[in-house]
Amino acid sequence: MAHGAAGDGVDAGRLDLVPMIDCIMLLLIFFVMTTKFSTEEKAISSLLPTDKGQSGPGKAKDIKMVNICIYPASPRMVKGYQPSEYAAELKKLTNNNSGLVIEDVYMRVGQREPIQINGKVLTKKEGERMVAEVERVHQYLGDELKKFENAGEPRNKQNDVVIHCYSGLSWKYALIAYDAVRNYEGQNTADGFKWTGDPRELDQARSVNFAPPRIRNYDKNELGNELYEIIHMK
Amino acid sequence: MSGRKVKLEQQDDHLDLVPLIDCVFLLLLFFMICGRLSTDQRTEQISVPPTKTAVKFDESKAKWRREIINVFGATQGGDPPKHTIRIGTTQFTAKGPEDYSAYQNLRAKLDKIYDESEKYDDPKATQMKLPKVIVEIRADANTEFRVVQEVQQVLTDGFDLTTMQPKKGFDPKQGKPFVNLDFTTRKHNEK
Repeated sequence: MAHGAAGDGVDAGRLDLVPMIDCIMLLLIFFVMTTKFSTEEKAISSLLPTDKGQSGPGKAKDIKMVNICIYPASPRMVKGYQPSEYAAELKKLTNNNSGLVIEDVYMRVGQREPIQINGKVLTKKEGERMVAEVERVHQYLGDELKKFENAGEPRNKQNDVVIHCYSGLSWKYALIAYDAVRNYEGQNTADGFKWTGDPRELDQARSVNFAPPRIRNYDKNELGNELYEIIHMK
Repeated sequence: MSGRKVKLEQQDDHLDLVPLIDCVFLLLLFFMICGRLSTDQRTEQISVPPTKTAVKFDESKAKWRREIINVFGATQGGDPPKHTIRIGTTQFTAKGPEDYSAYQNLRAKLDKIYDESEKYDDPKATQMKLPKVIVEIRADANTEFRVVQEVQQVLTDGFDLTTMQPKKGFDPKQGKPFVNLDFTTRKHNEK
């Protein structure tokens, strides 16, 4: 740059380092700004239903479903309590709604026994522990979904899967459940169907959807009802 | 940088423009880079959840338009809990679960995208016209499920966004739904 030409004439006997320092600084800034340290992002496809539920022409009653329920884990988050008791327990778990994130959750298929998931390990820094936790969820949901198979039916005629997650929990739990169902479907497709990420392929696949958050069905003082519904869901 | 000091002392009869040029170049570089970042839809530092079946989106194969909705913010509890939705370079922040303004603004933006997009007939014979658009929901792993699911409800166009209840007497054929979604994620075993 301009440094080089000016510097050469002034200090004939010395090596002028200024242009080099300038260039290095510029390169440093360039790489600091452009280097991405985050992991490469990928995607998992989903197709919102157009022929059922609230946006469709009302066939919801004819549909048989497999329900996956996800809710906070605690000895009192089991069947047999009243909505107000679930609300009180929730308050305790979130340290009086102080913004504390609930990291231990139950995941249950239908009326089967739930598994407890540790959300703290579902971060990249946990490495192998995270992989093991994801595999455990996949194993559990795969084993349970086998029990609801309609033998001989194509994948898009199998019972719909609906994921019911407590509205205040992290999105990651619902997505892992979705991922596990898609993985199960991939393993059970006789013609070796592989997911390529094209959303239109989902027309041939089993319907997997997220249930609307029940928070909108109740007054903000009735949040225990949402938990009551999910915990008692069949 | 001591070289510059020496030069200044030696050339005291000249105005040394070199530091000025340096600064200008640095500023130029800074603004060039920042300008590029502001149009990048993936700049938010979002930690997406891990999954096993995720696939890499092949931009060369994807002929459909892709719109990215970033969803992030301190949505877990707090006082008040809030979240931010960003589509393209436009960002909307909601002050809490009862503030639906971000959803309303998102829908207004989606309506425009729907009108601009090429459509196809719903293969399920619902007579709905679906846009050839893949909407990618890039949500932070710790965003509340409520927010991500409500963004999906906004996409269906079947909800009254002043109450977050299904629209009464709504004919889905008249709606502007987006049904092809991608959830951004990362491989669970990626090092």
